[in-house]
Amino acid sequence: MTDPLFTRRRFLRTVILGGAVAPTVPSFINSTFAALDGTAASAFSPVTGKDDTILVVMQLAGGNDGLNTVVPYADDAYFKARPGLAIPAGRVRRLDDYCGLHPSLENLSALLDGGEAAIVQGVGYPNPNRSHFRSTEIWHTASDADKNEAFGWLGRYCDAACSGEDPGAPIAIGDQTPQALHSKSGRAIAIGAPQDYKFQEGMEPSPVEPDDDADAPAGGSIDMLFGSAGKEADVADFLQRTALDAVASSAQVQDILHRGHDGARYPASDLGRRLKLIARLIGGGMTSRVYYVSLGGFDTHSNQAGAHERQLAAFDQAVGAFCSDLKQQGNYDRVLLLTFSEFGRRVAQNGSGGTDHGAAAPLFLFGGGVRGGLHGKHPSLTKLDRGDLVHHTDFRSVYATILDQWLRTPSATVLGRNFGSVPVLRAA
Amino acid sequence: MRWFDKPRFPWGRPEVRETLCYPRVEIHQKRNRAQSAGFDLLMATPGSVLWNADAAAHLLRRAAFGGTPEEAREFASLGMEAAVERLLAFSKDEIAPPATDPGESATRARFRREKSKANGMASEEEREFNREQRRIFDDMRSWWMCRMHAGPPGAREKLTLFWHGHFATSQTKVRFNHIMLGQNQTLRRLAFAPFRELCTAMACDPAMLVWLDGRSNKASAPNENFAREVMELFALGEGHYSEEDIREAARAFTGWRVDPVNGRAVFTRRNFDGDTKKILGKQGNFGAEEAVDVICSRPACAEFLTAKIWEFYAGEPPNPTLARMLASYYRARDLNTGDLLRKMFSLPDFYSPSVRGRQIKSPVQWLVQASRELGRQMLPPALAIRLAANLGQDLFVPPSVKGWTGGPSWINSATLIRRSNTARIFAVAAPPLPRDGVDSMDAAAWSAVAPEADRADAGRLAARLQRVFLAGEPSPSTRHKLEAQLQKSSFPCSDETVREASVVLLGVPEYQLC
Repeated sequence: MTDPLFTRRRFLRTVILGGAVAPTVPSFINSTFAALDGTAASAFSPVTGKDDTILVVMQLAGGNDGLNTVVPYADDAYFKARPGLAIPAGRVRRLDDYCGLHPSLENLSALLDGGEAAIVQGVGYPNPNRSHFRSTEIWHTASDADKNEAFGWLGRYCDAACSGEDPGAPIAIGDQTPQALHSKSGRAIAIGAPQDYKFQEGMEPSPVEPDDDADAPAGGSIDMLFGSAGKEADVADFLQRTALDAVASSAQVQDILHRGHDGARYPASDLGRRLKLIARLIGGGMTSRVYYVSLGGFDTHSNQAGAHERQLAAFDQAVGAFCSDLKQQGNYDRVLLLTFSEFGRRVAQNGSGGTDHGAAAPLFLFGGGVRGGLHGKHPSLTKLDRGDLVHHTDFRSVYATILDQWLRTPSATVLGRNFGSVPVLRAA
Repeated sequence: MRWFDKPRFPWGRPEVRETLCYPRVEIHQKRNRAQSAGFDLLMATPGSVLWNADAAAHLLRRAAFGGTPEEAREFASLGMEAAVERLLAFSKDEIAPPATDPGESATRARFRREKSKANGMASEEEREFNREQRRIFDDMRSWWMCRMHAGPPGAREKLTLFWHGHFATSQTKVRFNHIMLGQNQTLRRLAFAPFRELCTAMACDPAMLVWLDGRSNKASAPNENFAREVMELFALGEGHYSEEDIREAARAFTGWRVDPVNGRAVFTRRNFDGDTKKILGKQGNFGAEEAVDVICSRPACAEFLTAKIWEFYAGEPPNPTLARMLASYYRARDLNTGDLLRKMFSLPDFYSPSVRGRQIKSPVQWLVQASRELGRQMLPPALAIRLAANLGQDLFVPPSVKGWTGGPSWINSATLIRRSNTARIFAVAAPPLPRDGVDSMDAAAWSAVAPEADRADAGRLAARLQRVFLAGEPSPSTRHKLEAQLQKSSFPCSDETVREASVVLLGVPEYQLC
């Protein structure tokens, strides 16, 4: 019997090294075939997630209530605005004499003590949008609030870093690829349930055969296929490339899952399972440098107290397990976890025991490379914009810092202009 | 007639405990009949539809959930106008919905009280009740897929699916089968109705009142959740209202709650904000219906909805000229969605090469259409529900209030692998699937997929199967794959050959298109 993995490898090598599919080279195969084949790997040695820095991005979807996450327990205005929702000063995990963490954030608190977590306060952008969807787009594409951008900031990073040697296709854990990962050079891969991430026998899409290229323009580029080639070519090409990405990446993922072993104990939550998978892929030598994961349930318009506490606890426990797993693997120093939410929530509670959509909020960074502690001042609770906190740090200056100092790609190329930096990373 | 006397509530008229004392506000809507008169001429883009079996098959796939080549021929023989009418007229009322419990919410409240007395221990009665409610929820999902699947092709279920994704409400928060099903029935009943009727019904819909916190939106404590989404996602689109409009509209939507005993929407005068509101430039003592009227009378409403409905059916956004025409037609017809569909399905644009065979099937479309193509019953409920959810479209559980994004977002490496693997489950009869609680499954009707006459030789079988399964031309690699498969058989061929060749087509990338 033929080893299916061997067949796949031989197919990939034949197809890619044979140069048979120039216009429809799937982005994933293009970037990772070298890693699939040991001998080929020595000939090409791209900078990949196998040995270089890795970024994991997590969205707390729905608009996390920053004020009840990093709590200004010493501010009377906080208790006045939230008579039914304020966390009493006695329950807060104190960070300084003004603010402290929600009591659920036990692991985060320990990571902060150890200098392994950073909190950037008062993050947002000018003219904040209070729609989940629009504000998520703004965070994902790093665009100005009044502009629309098709590709995500991490997708554009991949496009910029791709020229020459590719860092490996970004991976979304879940069934959706977020806009943050959309790029000109093709979509990211998505992995829902890893055990199902393989083709049943006989159901693999067939490789592109030479016939397909008969009427393709000679020397055509992937840009052209997305640009002027028209819709018809786009959708067929898109399906074809995704199919081949799926063939190649599922082979690699199954390979890692068979070799890998379980590290730290994770909570039995969705987020726990997802972070565990990411740790396993990193530990198994996956070539991707960017991972994306999301935790929902933060849109707390009503009866917020209990629901928010549960979500923060789920977040805290999963992140705690992820960090200790990476430490055990010895990969902690080259993995950076960034968490954000599309907006914070209004300072004053509403009439349903909840809070409505707001603006500025804190974001978090975790990992061995982080310069720990609180960065920036807590925004004022009295100088508000239509009832919302006013940001002092543009989220794109955090992105710029990560691009320049962590992924080492000029941020202005990716973000379109210079946003400065925030001192959240230790000098490399 | 007072507006709440109109028979628009499928769960029964909402109880009005106190008389509504705010006056019905007259809103002057510009209904430009003159514009409507000349419209049909304006609409006739150069060229006309070449109406044949291929065009009819395209219409059946898009307006409904596809048909067999025989059905396509039948619709072709009717002529385009009659074919469209038949799709719009057909309704599948014979499949009764599962029985739900109107007092589910009150029963749960009782369990909560008893549980707190019993130190948090759930009683056997409660556990049994919860199992029963989960079973009913499964029945609801499979019932709906069966409705889409059964009988001759019709447009109502497809449009109901559109509205479900539009007024996207999820059981994850509502947790009340009776009112989730009630909302679904309202969407179905008013699917073709003028949009302001449907939108008003949603503003006072029990499931919506829970989902977007309308039930806790009170004069003393406004909650903006519904007011924001009705403008952003349901009727106008981003950029056509201000934050101030949201705050004002929220006050107009106050006063409604859900009765936990019977699951009905109840208006309570004392929770209603009776002061003047100013919404989108109009001023008055608006209530829910008037606020919806104000919103729906904005030009942006027709523009927003026609663009979204066109994209749902055509698979691409309308070009600017078409967008303008569709919007002005919809306004002229008082936002009557049935009229809009009738017009859309008769436009040459709808049958153009850039539209045909270029839409990525939604998971539900994939499952229902594949079942119809294979001439089989809908899959066993437990399996159908799991597959739909795994492919990314769990009915009654949309991912957010924005619904499913659709289009290319259905496809990524994870879902494409699942679609390929699902194809094998579909084609192979009776696979043992213990984890789904499915013992057996009926086989596809291979004699219907490929009748005797089409089994004479490889060429005829290939042509037949492509007609059954593919919306467009197969790619060269698909043609090779199919030929290679057919070379293994002798002709006239057996069911086995038809099945293996069908598996090939169900697994190729272009099978994702309709």
